[in-house]
Amino acid sequence: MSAWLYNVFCEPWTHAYFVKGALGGSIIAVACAVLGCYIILRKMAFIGDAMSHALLPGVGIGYLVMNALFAGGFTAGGLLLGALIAALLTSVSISFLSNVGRIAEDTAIGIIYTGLFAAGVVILTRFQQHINIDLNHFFQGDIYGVSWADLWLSAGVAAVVLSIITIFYRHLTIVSFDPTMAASIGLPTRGIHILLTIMIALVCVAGISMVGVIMIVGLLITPAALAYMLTDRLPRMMGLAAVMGVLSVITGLYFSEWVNASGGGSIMFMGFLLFLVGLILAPRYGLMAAWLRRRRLVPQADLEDVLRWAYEGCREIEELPLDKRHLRKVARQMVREDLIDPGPLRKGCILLTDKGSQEAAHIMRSHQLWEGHLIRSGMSAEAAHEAAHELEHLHYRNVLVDFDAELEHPAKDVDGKPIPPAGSDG
Amino acid sequence: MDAATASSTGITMEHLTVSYQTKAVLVDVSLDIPRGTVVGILGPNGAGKSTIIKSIMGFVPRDYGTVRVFGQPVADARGLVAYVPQRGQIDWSFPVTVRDVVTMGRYGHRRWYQSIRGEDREKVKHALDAVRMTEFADRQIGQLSGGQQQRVFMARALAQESDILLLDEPFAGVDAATERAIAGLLAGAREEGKTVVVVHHDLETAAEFFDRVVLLNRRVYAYGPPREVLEPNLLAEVYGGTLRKMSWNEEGEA
Ligand SMILES: Nc1ncnc2c1ncn2[C@@H]1O[C@H](COP(=O)(O)OP(=O)(O)OP(=O)(O)O)[C@@H](O)[C@H]1O
Ligand SMILES: [Mg+2]
Repeated sequence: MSAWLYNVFCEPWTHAYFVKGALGGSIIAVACAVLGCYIILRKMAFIGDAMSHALLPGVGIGYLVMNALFAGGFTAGGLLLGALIAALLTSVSISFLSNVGRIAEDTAIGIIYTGLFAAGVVILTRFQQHINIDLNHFFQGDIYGVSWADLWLSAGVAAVVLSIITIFYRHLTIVSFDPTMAASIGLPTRGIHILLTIMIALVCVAGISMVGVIMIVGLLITPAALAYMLTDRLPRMMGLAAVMGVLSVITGLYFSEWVNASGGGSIMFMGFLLFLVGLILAPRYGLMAAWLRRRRLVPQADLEDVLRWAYEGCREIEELPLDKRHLRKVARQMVREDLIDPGPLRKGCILLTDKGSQEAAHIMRSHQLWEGHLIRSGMSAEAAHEAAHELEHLHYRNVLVDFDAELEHPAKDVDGKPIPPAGSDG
Repeated sequence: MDAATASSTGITMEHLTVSYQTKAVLVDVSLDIPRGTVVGILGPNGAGKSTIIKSIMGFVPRDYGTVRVFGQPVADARGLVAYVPQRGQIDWSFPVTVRDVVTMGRYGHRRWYQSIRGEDREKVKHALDAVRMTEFADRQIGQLSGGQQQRVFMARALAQESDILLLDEPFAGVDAATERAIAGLLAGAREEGKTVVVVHHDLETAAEFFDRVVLLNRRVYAYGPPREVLEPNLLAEVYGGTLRKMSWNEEGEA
């Protein structure tokens, strides 16, 4: 058994490729997750997607130029520079295009990034023999082929991105939250947008060779979105997103080991599964929470019936003509609303609290006045009694005041029981 | 009119023309708002009221004309202005608390490398007290009622301690108590000599709240003391006759 556990969970860590993959993946996942919080809050997810694809021509040209200048040296620097230029070009041309003519921003994004991506494909295929970047690698990355250079690059990028976010936290937050106000206190909103764009480009460049272009977008968006479901505080959202990102990387790597599937794909698949789990289980905004809230709802009429039954003193649950399971649900809701005492309820007995008694008195009064009103309108006593059970739930104050006047302020109902005074429920 | 303040310039607009894409939203708007006055901007939906507010902050591209704040171009006057946005412009699910939002009012007072100090936190506390939102300080802003949300942004404007207040529909959807509270804050700002511009929709209260009123519908139809400006014929013209059905005639509903 322990040998099996060892093989499944520990053995992978004895391989350098696994350790490097986990390390590089985690570093880039943390940077992506924290940055991703701003991306989803600013609703820039599509821009992130576009940016990552549009890097291709930049990477290609950067590689070609460096290759031509230094005959194969310094290609990493060339890739980085080319990617940054492509990212800026993408950002600037998107905002230009969406401000001229009648083209909306999402349309502009679609046009620009497919255009640039196509240019990249053309460059890569035309100069195939000079460039050793292949498209498959661009899409999938190679998490098991992480080199020391990749590690250093991702560590550097993560350090830069996290420092910028720490230093400019206030500015990034206010520009995202209320750009007009940010501009009015003199913050460069445009500049901050460009800064975000550059950071997206940086994590893309650092991450693409490890997890590929689609997965890098996933790491930007999904962990942050999951964290957004879990908390209402931005710093906590960033922390949670980082944890979720790393969790996706580690579980993804295990998964790819076990089922022998693509590393990049497995990582993002796990991230997606984590998101689904969060979507269902999130305490406040999850599906389960909404479902539980709805399930706990009980019809107000049932609740008022129980109030009226219990008005005259402690009642055994067994006595009440409601389905017992349903009654228990109603009783629990009444405990939450502080209408009945939880102590006696455990012994199968419903005892009203002060607040419960007051509300019960109001329902009782409503029942009795309705009954009186119906009889006065010519209904038989028996029919009136039945109908009052339904109509008592219409207990608007003004209606009761009218009935009270009509019946000349009765002190007792038709059966001679005292009618509780008005306003006894506050 | 205001002999005491007429000498000092507050906000001046000359021939301001603004368009989004090809659509002219403000046409040849000239206004002189003296320092220390409380001015209401009234007009139908889409009249360009929010656009005027944004142009005072230099947040919309001008086609033509100038906007000056205390005699300076708006670009140099940044930080003099506190702004309360219209409700619809805020993402209420943004993960910030009431205190976070009010603290944003202090950001303009600190350079980018300086952190928020005890003195700032003190001012945030005062501002929260002034709008009676202290007990909600740690709530996420989406978990408040509309009136409470409005008060949070008022508190942020107070915490900014700026000489000019621009409020975009601060009275929209608030109850009588909050309305009185906001009116009280306006009166307080006037006493401190602040220049206040308020986008407003209620003709009944306009005369009470404002020293001067602008009637706007792409152009300025009238500008002056409320009694002169809020005149049925003028209003009918600006609101395109729809007003006859509104509360102005004291019959029917808005
Ligand atoms: N960012 C924008 N892009 C394009 N058109 C815009 C933009 N903002 C406003 N508009 C248009 O400009 C006109 C004036 O808008 P503005 O927001 O200033 O009106 P408003 O007077 O504040 O209206 P409301 O009472 O509804 O708030 C409207 O017709 C609006 O459609
Ligand atoms: Mg507006």
